[in-house]
Parts: sequence; structure tokens; C-alpha cells
Amino acid sequence: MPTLAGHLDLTCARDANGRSYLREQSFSAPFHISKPYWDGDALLLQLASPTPGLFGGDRLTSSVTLDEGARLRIITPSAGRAHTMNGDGAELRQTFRLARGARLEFCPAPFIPQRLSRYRQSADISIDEGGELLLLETIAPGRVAHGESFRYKAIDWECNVTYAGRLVLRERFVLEPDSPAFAAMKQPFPLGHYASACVISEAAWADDSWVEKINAIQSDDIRIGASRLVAAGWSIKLLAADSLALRRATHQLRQALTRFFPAQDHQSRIFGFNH
Amino acid sequence: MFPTGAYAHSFGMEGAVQDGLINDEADFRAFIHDMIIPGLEKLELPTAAAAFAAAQDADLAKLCELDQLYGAMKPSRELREATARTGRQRLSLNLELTGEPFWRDIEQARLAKRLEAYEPIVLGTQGALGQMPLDDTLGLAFYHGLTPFVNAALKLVRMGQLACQKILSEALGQTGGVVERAKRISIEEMGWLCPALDISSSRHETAFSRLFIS
Repeated sequence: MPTLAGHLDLTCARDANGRSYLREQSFSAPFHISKPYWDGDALLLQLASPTPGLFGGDRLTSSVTLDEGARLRIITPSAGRAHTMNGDGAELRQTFRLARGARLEFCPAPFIPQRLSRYRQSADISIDEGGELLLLETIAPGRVAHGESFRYKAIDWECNVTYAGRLVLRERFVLEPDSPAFAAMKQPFPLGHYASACVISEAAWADDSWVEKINAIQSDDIRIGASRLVAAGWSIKLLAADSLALRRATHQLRQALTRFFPAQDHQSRIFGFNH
Repeated sequence: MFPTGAYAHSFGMEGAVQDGLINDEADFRAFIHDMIIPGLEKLELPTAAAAFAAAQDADLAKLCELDQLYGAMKPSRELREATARTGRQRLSLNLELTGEPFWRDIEQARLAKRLEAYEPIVLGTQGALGQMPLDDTLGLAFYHGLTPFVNAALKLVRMGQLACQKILSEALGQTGGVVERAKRISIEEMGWLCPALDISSSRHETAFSRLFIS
């Protein structure tokens, strides 16, 4: 089967009127971007994939740069998928560069690793002092509705976040459902959906009153907690019993951060309904 | 015996009890085997091994880099600060008990905020400077990584000393295998994901009542 070697290169800048725009853009399949839209606070960009997902051997790279003061919000219209693979895995390498005063929000739809899939994802995020980041990523157990949970081979994950030259967060793990060490991922929910948010914001660091709202999200089908990183930001971890609970929790999480990351409600525009 | 103050910490376990993850002896055994041992194997012991190598080379810059890396890999502030507190105590005791000048270099680096002196960093250094074999150093790190949970279990879970000792003995029976696997993990590969423990620990930071600092 032919494989893809797609790329996405974006540079977002701020114009003389304070609006953000794409100064440079280049992409190839499976990446595709919508026409960007200024929503009054940030440039909204929909990142879509015209293919149904990733297959073995696919190699994708993306590079997103925000110039000083630029504000970019990247959304995806549908879940990312890694399909059944028999040989090589798929790989996505990402770099993000945020200059002083830049703000990036990247909350892609859940990633669904299907049976026998192997996937490696790396993200190297560098933020200058005063830059702000909201990154929220979600990993589903698989195609739950098809009775296919934790049937993937491996998810190899690496995310490094550097703020003002200092490493403030490194997530590094390999999830292998066949390994005995995977048992921890099934607590407290046997088919748990996992989400991790990285919030880099001097304002959110200084005023932690919003954490109460995060803690209040916890319920019988949701576990969530927020904690300070070594500097400049927060890590928020979330486990949900199922996809509906996940959707509810991530929506509430996003609302709790509205003070620092103002957001229009794009969900209703995309999906035709609100939560 | 090093009085590092670990008895005052549950390293996330009290939060796990409050969150309902641990209710009895069976839960505690599963907690140790499913959440604690893999974490020691994939993060704490490889970190101690890398610190051991850096200390053998008297490479303070590398030690500082490892310390920063370890801190960035602990997303829960409470768990991170717990290992920083016990590590600082271990550093302080080594400063008092030995005339090894490298300890003074580390303390100066700590005072200059170049490192926090997290427990696996100091323990790995202690093994190298004390001429301990690497395997023994990592075995000690494994033991020190397990015992705070057993001590905490006596206060947090309805179970007796004998049951706790049995679980500790079972876990220590894995020392050889854990150490061997940990030695094969490179700095680039080390890391572990246990969201349930991170979440419980994060919530414990703001818990209304608690017995332990962490």
C-alpha cells in the first residue's frame, strides 16, 4: 500500500490592526486547511484530513510558528484515526514556536487508535516569555462502538514544552495494551478515555481560582485534576468513563479556561448543536 | 538508614484512597503492582542510573540537566515537591556525613537554583560517590520507592503490618528484574503515564483534610 509523507507548515503573524493572519502556509496530503477566519480574538483555522486516517508507513510533519502577538486557534472537524496496520506504524512529528505575546490554542478531536495500529507522535513546543498555550489532546481506547477497545499495538508519545528556554513539561510514554504495565490505564474506568491539557499562561499561573472549576468537573464518570508545572503553567489530566463523559468534561474544562483563552463556541457551528 | 522525611509523604497514595482507588488489601496490592512498580522501573530507576553515571564522571552540568528533566516529567506538583524534599534531606545528610567535595558542588548548584536535588538524582549520586555497584544502587532506589507506600498503607487502609510486609516482600521479589529492565531504558525513553495517580495527587493538593504532606 502506498504511504504518505505529508507536511504542514504555517506561520501566523499579527498585522498593523492587531489581527492575526497566515503569513506563510504550505501543506500536502493528508493535511488540508480551511480558509482561516478572524473570530474577533484569534485566527480560527480548521485543520482537516481528506483521508480517512493514518495507515502503516505514513510519515507526517507539521511546523506551526506564531510571530509576536499572533493568536491562532486550530481545530479539527473529526477524530484522528490510526487504522489497522500490519507492518510499519504511522508517525506525526510536530513543532510549535510561539514568540513573545503569541497565543496558540490547539485542541484536536480525539485520537482513535484502531486494532493492531502503531502510532508515534512527538511534539516539540517552544514558547518565548509571555507566550500562551492551550493544548488539549485526547486518546480514545479504540472503536468502542465496534467492541474494539485497547486493541492497538502501541502508542509512542513524546511532548516537550519549553518556556523561556526552560523545559517545563515532558510527557513521554509508550502505551502497549498487551503489556502488564498497561493495567494502570484501566483505572478507575476499564474503558477509560484519557485527555491531557497543557496550559501555559502567566495569568493562569498567578491566579489559580479557576482550579476550583476544574475540580468541580469530577463526577462518577469523570476524574480530573490540575497541578502546577515547574514554571509558567499547569498540567490538567482527565479520565472519562466513555466518550459522552469525555465530551462533557472537555467542554467544561474549556469553559473553565475562558478567562485566559477567550473562545467563541465553534462546536455549535461545526456539529450543529451545543452541549 | 537515611532519615529523609519520607514518612510524612504518601506520594499520592492518600489521594488515591480519597478517590476510592484503594479500599482494601487487594486494592493496595494492585496499586503497588500496577501503578507504583512500573513507574519506578520506567522513570525513577532510569533517572537514578543516569545520575549514577553523571556522578561517576563528576559531571555537574549533566546532573543539573537530568534534575530539570525529571522535574518536567512529574506533572503533579505534590509528587514533584515530595521527591524534592526527600532528595534535599538526603543531600543535606550526605553533606554532613561525607567529605566528598562533589556534594558541596551539588549544594551550591541547588542554592543557585540550577537543580532541585530530586530524590532519584541524589540517590543515584550517592551510590556512585559511595562506590556502590549500580545494581545495588538501583535496588536501594527500588526499596526506597516502595517503603513509603507500605508505611502510608498502615495508616490509610484497613490492613495489618503482616499483610503490608507480605505485599512489600512480593514487590521486593521483583527487584532483580525491575533493575535489569530499568538499566536498559535510555534517558530519551524514560517516562511513564499513570493518569489516575496524577489526578488523585493533584486533587490531594487542595484536599480539605489529609494526614500526609503529599
